[in-house]
Amino acid sequence: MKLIIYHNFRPTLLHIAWMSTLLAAAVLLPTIGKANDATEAAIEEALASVRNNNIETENYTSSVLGQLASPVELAGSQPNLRALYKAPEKRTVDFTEAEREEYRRHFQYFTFTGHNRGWLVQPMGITGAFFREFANRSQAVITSITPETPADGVLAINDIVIGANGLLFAANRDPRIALGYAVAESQTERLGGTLILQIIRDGEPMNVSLELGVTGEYSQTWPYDCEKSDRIVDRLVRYILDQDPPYLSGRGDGWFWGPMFMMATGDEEALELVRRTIHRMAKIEPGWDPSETNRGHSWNCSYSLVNISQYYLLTGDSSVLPTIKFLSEILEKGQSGAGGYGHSCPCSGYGEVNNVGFVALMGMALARECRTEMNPVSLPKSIRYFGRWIGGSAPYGNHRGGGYAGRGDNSSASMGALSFKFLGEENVAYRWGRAASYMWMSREAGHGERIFNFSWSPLGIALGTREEFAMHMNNVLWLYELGKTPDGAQRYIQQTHFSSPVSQTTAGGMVYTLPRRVIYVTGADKSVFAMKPPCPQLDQAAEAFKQKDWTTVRSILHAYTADTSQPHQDYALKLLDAYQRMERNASVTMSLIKKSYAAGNLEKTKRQLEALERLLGEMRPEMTKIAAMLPEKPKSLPRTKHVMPDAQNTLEPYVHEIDMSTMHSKTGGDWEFILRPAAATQADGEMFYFYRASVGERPDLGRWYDIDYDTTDWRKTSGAINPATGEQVWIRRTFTTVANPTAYKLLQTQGTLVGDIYLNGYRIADGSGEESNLRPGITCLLRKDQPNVLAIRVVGTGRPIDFGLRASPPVIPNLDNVLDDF
Amino acid sequence: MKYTSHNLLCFIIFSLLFAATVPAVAYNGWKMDSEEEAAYQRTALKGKSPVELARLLAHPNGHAASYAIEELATRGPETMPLLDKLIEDEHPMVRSRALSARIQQTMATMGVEGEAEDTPEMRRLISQMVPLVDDPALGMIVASFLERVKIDNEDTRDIAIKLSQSSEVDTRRRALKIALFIDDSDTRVKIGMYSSLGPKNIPRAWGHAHQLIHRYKDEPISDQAIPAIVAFFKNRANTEPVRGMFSDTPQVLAIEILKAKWSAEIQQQPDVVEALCRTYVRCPMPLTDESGWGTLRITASELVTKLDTESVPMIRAAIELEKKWLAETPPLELASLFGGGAEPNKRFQQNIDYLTYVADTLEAGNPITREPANLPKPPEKQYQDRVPGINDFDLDSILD
Repeated sequence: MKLIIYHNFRPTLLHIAWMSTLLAAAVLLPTIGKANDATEAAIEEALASVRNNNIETENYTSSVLGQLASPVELAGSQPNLRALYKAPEKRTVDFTEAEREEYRRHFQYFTFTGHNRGWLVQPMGITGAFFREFANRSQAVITSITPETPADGVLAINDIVIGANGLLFAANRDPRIALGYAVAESQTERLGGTLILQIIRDGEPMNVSLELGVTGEYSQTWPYDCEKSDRIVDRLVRYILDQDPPYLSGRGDGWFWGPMFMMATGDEEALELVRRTIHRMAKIEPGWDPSETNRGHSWNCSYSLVNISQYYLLTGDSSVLPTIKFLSEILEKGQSGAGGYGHSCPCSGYGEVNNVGFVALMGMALARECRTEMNPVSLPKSIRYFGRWIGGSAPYGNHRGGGYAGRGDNSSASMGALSFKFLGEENVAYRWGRAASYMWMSREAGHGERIFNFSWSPLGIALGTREEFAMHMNNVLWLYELGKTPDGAQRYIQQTHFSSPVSQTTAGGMVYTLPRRVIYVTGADKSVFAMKPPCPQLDQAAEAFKQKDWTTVRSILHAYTADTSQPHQDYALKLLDAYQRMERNASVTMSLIKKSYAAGNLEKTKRQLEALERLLGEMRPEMTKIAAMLPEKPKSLPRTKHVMPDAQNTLEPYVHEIDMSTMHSKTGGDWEFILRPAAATQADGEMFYFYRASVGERPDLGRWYDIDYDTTDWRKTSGAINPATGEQVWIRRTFTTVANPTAYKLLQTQGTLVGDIYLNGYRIADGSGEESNLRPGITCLLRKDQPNVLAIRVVGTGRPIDFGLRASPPVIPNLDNVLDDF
Repeated sequence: MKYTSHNLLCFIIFSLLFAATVPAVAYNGWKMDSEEEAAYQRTALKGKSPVELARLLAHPNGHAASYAIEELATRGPETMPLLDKLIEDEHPMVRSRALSARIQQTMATMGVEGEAEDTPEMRRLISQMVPLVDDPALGMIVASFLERVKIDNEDTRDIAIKLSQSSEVDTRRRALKIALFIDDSDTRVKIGMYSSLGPKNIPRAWGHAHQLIHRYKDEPISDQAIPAIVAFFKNRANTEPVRGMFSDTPQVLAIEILKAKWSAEIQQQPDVVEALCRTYVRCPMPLTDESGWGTLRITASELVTKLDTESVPMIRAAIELEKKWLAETPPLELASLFGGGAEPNKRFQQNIDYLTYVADTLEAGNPITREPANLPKPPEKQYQDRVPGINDFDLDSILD
C-alpha cells in the first residue's frame, strides 16, 4: 500500500479515517476468511432443521389424479390483468344522449378546487397529469398537470376520468389498473403512441387524446428479454445522475436501495457515485464498539450491511471489510432471544419487526458470503427464527399480518427467498419465491407506504419459475407504469411524504435491473471474492488484491492465466476480470473527475478523488496532478471561524458576538423570520428566478450563487412560483439583516424543496423536504447591514416553491452544569 | 349552547356530510379488495372442469388455492364422488383441500352459512368427522369447520381434544379456538393442557393454551394441568423459541397458575422444584422494556422464597443441574437467552448463588429470619438500571 501526501493537498480527517481503515483491514484480514468450522456446522444444522418446511408444495403427484398442475399451469390459472385490459380496436366511446344525460345527472354537482391532498395524489404515468381518488368510486379526478407534458393542454384540472382507450372503468373496480395498462399499451407502435381517455368535463362526457410517443412494448416476460425495460434502466440512472447528489442519501430510507440500484445497473458512472456513498456509509466513527450493542439501529445496520457487502462482492474493495465485520457484529449481538430483530439492537420498543429482521438476515448471509468470521450462535438462530415461514409469508412484526391472511406480507416472502439464496439454499429460495408470486394482488397492502413490496417483491419472485414470475409481473405492470413520471423518475404511485424522489426511483427501479444480474439481489453469480482461493499462488493474488498491491496482482494473474496447464483457470480469470473491471472504472472515474473540475465543481472533484484514492489505495500521477490544482480548501461551508476568512473568497463574513439582550430564555424562544417567504409579504427581499422548462439539462450559469452575480437576464417575481415536476429552477433572494444574527438558522420553504442551497456564495445544505436545518456555522456567513443573497436550485415537485430564512434565539449554556464542575 | 331546532338541523346535516366523507378519508386511496380480487379469480377459473380444478388443489399459495376450492364447491353434487376419492389421496394438500371443498358444498346444500343450528343433520355431519381427525392434514379442515359452525356437543368435544393432541401446532391452535365455545371447564382445561404439551409449539399457541388453563387456576379442575405447566418450565420455557419479545405471555400465565396452586404438597410433586429453580436461574430480564418479563421474574422469586425445608434436596439437585448447564453452555448462547449483553455467565451465576443461599438458609433451620451468620448475602439488585418498570423489584424487600 502506498501512501502519498500529494502537493498542496492537505490530509483531511477523511484521509486519515480511510487510511486507518485500510490499516485495520490489514490487521483483520488474516483472520477474515478463515474457515470457521463451528459456525459453518451450526449454520448447516439450522438450515437442515428448516429447509423442508412446506416441502409438500414441490410434490406434483396425486394418487387419484396422477400428475398435478405444474408451475406453468398454476401460473396460467391466475387472472391475466394485462390481457384483460387490452385495448379494443375502437378506442373512443360514442356516448348516447341518454348516457350523456345520466353522466350530467351524476356529475353536475361535483366541483373540485384542485386542492392537493398530499398522499392521495398519484401520478398518471408519463402523461404528466396527477390524479386522486374520486370518493372511492371507479373514476379519477385530475388534480394537477405538469406544463409541457402530454397532458398539458389536453386535460384540465377537475376533469373526471371514466375510462381509457375505449374501456369504461367498471363499477367496484380500481380504475387505476385499467388506466395503468392503457398508459403502457398506448406507447406501443400498434396504438401509435396515443392514449385516448374518456373524461367528464363540466358534466359532459367526451374523448380526449394524449400524445405519449412510441417507446415500445413491454415483453410478456418483462423485464427479461425486454428492450423497453433495458432503456428504462438507463433513463432512471440518468435521472439520478442528473440530480448530481453528492451521495445517494435522502430523507429516511434514502440510501436503502440507492447504492443497490445504482450498482445493479452496471453503469460505470453510477458505480462512481456508489463508491462515494458506500465509503461514507462504511465510515466507522471513532469510539464505536459493537459490544456496546445498545447503540445499533437495526434499519441502518441491516440495510448498510446489505449495501456494503454487495459493493465488496462486486468490486473487491477491501477497505470496507472492517465495516462489514463491525455491522454484522452489531446485528449478531442485537438479536432478540428468539432470533428476530426489533427497530433497534438489541430489540426494544414493541418487539420483533420482521420486515427489518429479514434484511438483517440477508445482511448477515451476505457478510458470510464476504467471508466474514461470524459467531456460531446468531446466524443459525436467525435461520431457525425466519425459516419457520419458508414457503409462506411472515407478519411485518411479531403480530398478525395486515390485510388478508397470506397477502399483506410486505414482501417478507421475497426477502426470505433472497436471504436463503445467499445462504446457499437454492431450493428454499425457489419454493419461497414461487409462493410469493401469487401475492400480486396485495402489492399495495402493507407498511412503509408499500415501498417494500415495490422494491423487494420482484427480486425474490425471480428466484421461482420464470412463468410464475411473468404472471406476477404482468399483473402488476400497471402499478409500475403509473409510477413513471415525465421527469424520468419512478415512484410508487401514491405520492407520499415518506421518501424522496431519488429514493423512490431507486426502490422502484430495482425490478428493471434484474436481467443485468450485476449484484447478488438481482441474481449475480457467486463473486470471486466469496470464493476461497483454490491454491497458494492464487491465495497470494487474492491477498494482494485485498492489500491493493496491484503490481503483485497483475504479475501473478498474468503468469497464471498465460500458463493454460494451471488447474484453477476459472478462479484466476474471474479475479483478473475483477481487477480489469476495477481499472476500467478507475479510468471512467478519472474522466468524471476531470469533468467535475472543468465545470468548477471543486467539492465534487475532491470527493471523487478521495473515493478513488481509497479504492486504489494510492494516488496515481494523474490524480495527484488534479489534486494539486485544487485550492487548499475547496469552497464549502467553513466548520469553524478559524478557517475564515477563506483566501479564495472575497467576502468578509460577519462573525457575530452573542448579544445577551437577544436571549429570551434558557431553551430559546420562538423562531423568527429574518427573511419572510415571498408570498407572505412583498416588502422583503425581491425574488429573482431563472426558470427553465426542459428536464435534466444543466445550463452554464456560472457562479449563479455569488453575491455579485449579474441577474439582468433573470426573471423577477415577488410571489411564490410553481415549477412543474422535474423542472429545475434557480432562484435568488436578496435581503439585509438589521439585527445581529442569532445562533441558529432554519430555512423554511413552502412546498417541497429538493436541490442546493447557497448563502452568500457558500453551499450550505442539500435541500430536501419542507424545512432544512442549517448548520449553526452559517451565522458566520450572514452580513449585518449589508446585502445577503440566498440562492437555491430546486427541482420541482408539482408544488409551489417559496422560502424564507428563520432564526431562533440561542440556547444559553446550562450554567448549572458549569457550576457543578466547580 | 342552546339546542334549537335550527341547530339540530345543522348538526344532522354536518354529521351526514362528515359520515359521507369518512370512507374516502379512512380508506386512504384505492387498493384491491377481496371482492374485486375474487371477481378476477373467478373469471380465470371459469370453464375449467372439476378435474382441472382439482389439479390446482396442491397450490403453493393457500390463498390462491382457496379459489379452486370455492369453485369446486359450487359445481354441484356430481363432483361429490370425485371429492370423496380425493379425500383419500396420498397428497396431503389434495386430500385436505378436497375435504374443504366437500364441506363447503355440503354446507351450501344445507343452506348453512357461518354459525349453524344444532340440527340432527348437522350432528350427523359432525359425527362423520370424528375419524378424520386422526389424519393431521384433515384435522385442520375439520377444526376450521367446527370453528365456523360453533356447535357444542359430545362429538365436538371429542374432536377438539383429539385436535389438541395433534402433532401440528396450527391444528392445536384451532382446537384452542374451538374450546372458546365449548361450555365445559374440564374439556377446556384438557385442551389447554394437551396444546401446551404439543411438539414444535410457538409462543402464541402456548399463550392461548395457558390462558385457557389460567381461567380455572383457582378451581380444582385445573389441578390436572400442573404436570403440563411444570413440563413447560422444565423443558421448554427457557429455550430459544420462547425468548422473543412477546413470548413472556405464556410464561407469565403459567407462573401465575403455579402460584395459585403453590403448597407444601405441590413442591413434592415430580419436577416442580427443578422447574421453578430452572426458571428462576434462566430468566434474567431480556434487554427489553417489555414489563411482562418482570412479572415472571418477580413471581418466580416470590415462589422461590416460599420453598420449604423439605425441598432442600431438590433445590440442591436443581442447582447442580444448573451449574452443569452454565459450565457447558457457550457464553454467546447464554447471552442470546436475553438478547445480548456483556458477561452473561455472571448474570446466571448470581441466580445460582442466590438459590444456594436459599438452600443454605433453609437448611440452617431458621426459615423465619433467614439471616444466620456466615451465609452469603443475597445478590445485588439487578436489572434496575436497564428495565423501566422493574425498579420496584427488590430482592431484599421480597425477603423481608
